Amino acid sequence: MINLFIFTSSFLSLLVLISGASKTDYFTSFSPDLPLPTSPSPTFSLIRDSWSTTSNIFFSLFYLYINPERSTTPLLLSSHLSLPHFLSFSSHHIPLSTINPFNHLSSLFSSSSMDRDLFSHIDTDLNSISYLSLNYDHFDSALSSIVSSPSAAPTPPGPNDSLVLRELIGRLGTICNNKSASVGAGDHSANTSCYSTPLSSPPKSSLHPLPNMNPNPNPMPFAPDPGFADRAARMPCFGGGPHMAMSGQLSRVSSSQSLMDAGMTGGVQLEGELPVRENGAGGRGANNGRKRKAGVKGKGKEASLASSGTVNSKISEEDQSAKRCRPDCKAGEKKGGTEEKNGNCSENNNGDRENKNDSDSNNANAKPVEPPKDYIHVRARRGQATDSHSLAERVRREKISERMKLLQDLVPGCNKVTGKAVMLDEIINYVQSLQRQVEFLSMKLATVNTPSDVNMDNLLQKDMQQPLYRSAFSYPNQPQVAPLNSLLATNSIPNLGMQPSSNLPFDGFGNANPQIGGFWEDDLQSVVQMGFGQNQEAALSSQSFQGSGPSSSDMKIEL
Amino acid sequence: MQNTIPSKQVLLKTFLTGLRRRNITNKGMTLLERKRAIKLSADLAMASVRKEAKWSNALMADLSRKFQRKTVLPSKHRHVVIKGNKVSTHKRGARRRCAAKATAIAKCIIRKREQVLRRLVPGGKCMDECTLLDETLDYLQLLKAQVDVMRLLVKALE
Repeated sequence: MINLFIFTSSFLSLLVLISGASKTDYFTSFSPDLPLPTSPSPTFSLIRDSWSTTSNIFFSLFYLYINPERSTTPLLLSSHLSLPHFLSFSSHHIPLSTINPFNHLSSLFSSSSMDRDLFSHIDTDLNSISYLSLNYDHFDSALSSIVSSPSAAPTPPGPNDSLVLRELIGRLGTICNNKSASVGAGDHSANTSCYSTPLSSPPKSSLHPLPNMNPNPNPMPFAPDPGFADRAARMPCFGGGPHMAMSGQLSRVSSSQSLMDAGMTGGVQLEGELPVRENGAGGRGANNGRKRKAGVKGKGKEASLASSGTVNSKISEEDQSAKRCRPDCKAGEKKGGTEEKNGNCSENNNGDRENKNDSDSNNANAKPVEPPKDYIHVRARRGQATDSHSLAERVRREKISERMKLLQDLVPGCNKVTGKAVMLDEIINYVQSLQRQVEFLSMKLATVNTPSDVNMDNLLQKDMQQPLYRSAFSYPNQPQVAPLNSLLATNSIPNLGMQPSSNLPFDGFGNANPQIGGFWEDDLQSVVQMGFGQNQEAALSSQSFQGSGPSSSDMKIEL
Repeated sequence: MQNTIPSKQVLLKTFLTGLRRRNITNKGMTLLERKRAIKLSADLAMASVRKEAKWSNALMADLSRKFQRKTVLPSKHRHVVIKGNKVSTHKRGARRRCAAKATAIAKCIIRKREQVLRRLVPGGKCMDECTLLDETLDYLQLLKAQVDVMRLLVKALE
């Protein structure tokens, strides 16, 4: 449902873009540090920019969905605010590498010549956002505060621009930074003065649910920015339940977000922040770096490049690593044979697990756990060998031990037994004893079945009136003359056609005659009911049977 | 892996159907023949209940072959069992002597017993260890059910 709203909002924004494509003079008036347009085709870049911003909105809204905490709402608002302005700016053909919607946002706030039409667009979009995020009761207050702040502010342009810009960026970064940490605890100092400068009197009361927005004249350190950027970029890789479903959609978002981040100046703390988002819990950067196929060196590259500002390579690596992580996690979630792999993907594991096992085990474990899956993903545990053979061996061993446990439950008297050898011995004994029992009982049935035609008519009469077994119980003094035979004979009489001429035909039992079944139903039911009621007796009697089995003498198994 | 335990009614029904088809009431049959026929029908009933299991197919194939050859079923098992016992006792003695080789000897014991189990469970020769244990589980369940059904019959007919 949220997706629908996102789409509508983005569509609205696109419309704004199309309508506001002519208003390029805004951009030229108050953003001097942005480079001049160089791309040849206006429409293509326009589409590109609009797509990136729509994906930005996607991302921001998803981020909001993922982190439903108060500190993130300003981020959402700001990102969404940036959209229409960004769209209007995009007609200026800014190269993607230097796109910075936050720049535009800050310039928007700082400039005095901003058109009120854009703010009206902001209002409509913000209203849509508020409609979307009904869960957040503080949202409306925050919305109103933010809406009021730009509208109330005739911002001083010129020299203060860059400072305000950075403050805003930093503030926005810290907002995201504080999502899991103590809300409003640490970053009061880092709050930008952006909102304070345009406002004559900052609306503290309305900003109360958003503690990060307390006015603070201190300039913004750059540290949180990359953290936010990283988290944003890593969002697609966010492990855990609801996010995996969205990971497919977020593929584009990550690229655009990283592009957005690229524009951010300042130090990049990729090492520390990246792994946090990769698997959705805890922060162990180096270990996660190992998880990727690119290895740690990719991370190092990113860190070195970030400060220099050559953003393209960093973005590409981020994208690659983000996308690599995602299909990895996704594959694990989808195929998810063993618990280990699922645990891997959803939580961050200790760093001793290596990525190589994944690929190796993928190739090595071709045994299906369930019919539709082809591979079992296994991770090597700490302190264990990691080559494919030992992994496969371990999987096999675990399977066998699991089945042994089940067999333990089935075979009576095996609760205290531990060890494969003794267990196997018990199983063998049990199977043999059961087979012997079957033989003995078949022999007994054969002996019981002494053919006699004398009492057949009597039995027939009795059987016609009542079920045979009930009669057997009601007449305890019934002569024991081939009850089995008569049992069979009584059924054969009404079903004359059933007895084939051949002596011992072997045919598939699947096609049992329905007539027989229908005839037997009552008798069988009665027999079975009686039998089940006497199960304990039968069990006791079986003990005696075992000893007296004809074939048991030659079977002497040592225990 | 573990299917539902077959309802004993179904077993009984198929068992008795098979018995009837084998024409047990014929007076010309000797005791052994009758016993064999009963056992055959019991096995067939057991195998038919669990058709998707490997052992059941193997059992059916086995029985059809044996039926055509008209050989006695149980003797085959007896031989195997004795053999297995002898081997295991021997290995136990060896284990007492050489404690250092315990693990190797234990593995030997396990392997021997696994072979025995393979011969016990129908179709076990062509299975790997995992499937062997699976099939054993299944086979055990059905064997139990079959024994119960036959005991029921015997009790009812007494």
